[in-house]
Amino acid sequence: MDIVVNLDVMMAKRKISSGDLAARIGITPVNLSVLKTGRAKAIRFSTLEAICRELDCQPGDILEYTPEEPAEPP
Amino acid sequence: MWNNRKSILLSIVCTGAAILLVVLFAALMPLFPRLAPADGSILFDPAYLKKAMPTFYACCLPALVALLCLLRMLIDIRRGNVFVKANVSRLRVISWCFFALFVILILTAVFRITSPAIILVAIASGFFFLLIRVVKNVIDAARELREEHDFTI
Repeated sequence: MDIVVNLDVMMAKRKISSGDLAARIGITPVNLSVLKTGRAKAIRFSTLEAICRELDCQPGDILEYTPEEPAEPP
Repeated sequence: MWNNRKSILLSIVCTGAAILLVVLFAALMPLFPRLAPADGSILFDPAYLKKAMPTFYACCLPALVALLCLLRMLIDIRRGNVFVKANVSRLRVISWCFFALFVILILTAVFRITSPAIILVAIASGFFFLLIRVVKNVIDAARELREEHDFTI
């Protein structure tokens, strides 16, 4: 996917563990892991809001758009 | 109290019984012409039974494959895995089994036994082929929706 989740970078900057952040934003550590590893298909505004609140950051600090290079024609 | 779990269990038992019947039917098939009573009915005519035997055996294989897929699907449903890729694949296999039945029966009706009953069963198989393909497409769409829902954090 072209959207990269930089949640782990922000978590490292704020020195917060996955379990701690999951508990604070009210999601399971498994779901936080899904989000961190980029396997999530969508993110709710409420979750994004909670993450931004707890990490004191902007949505753009967590989500980044990097266009994938088109595949070479055979 | 009747509930969904018991209903699935009943379906599993019925499917298991159907598999057993198909196997028994295939095993006892060679005995039918000898055991058939001579009452004048075409269904008990030894010559007819011998002529129909290759078709019966050819039909047993897709029927068995479809029933085994159905059984595995029901077991998965009992475990709570309804909208999964494996079930979509099983439905695809079942639909092609019906298509195989359709082809076998049409070929039989054209080249071996011209019987309205065989043509009717062939048409029914063709209809089930289409029906199960539609169900497969619906389950696949539901699986995609569920996946999206599961991965919305």
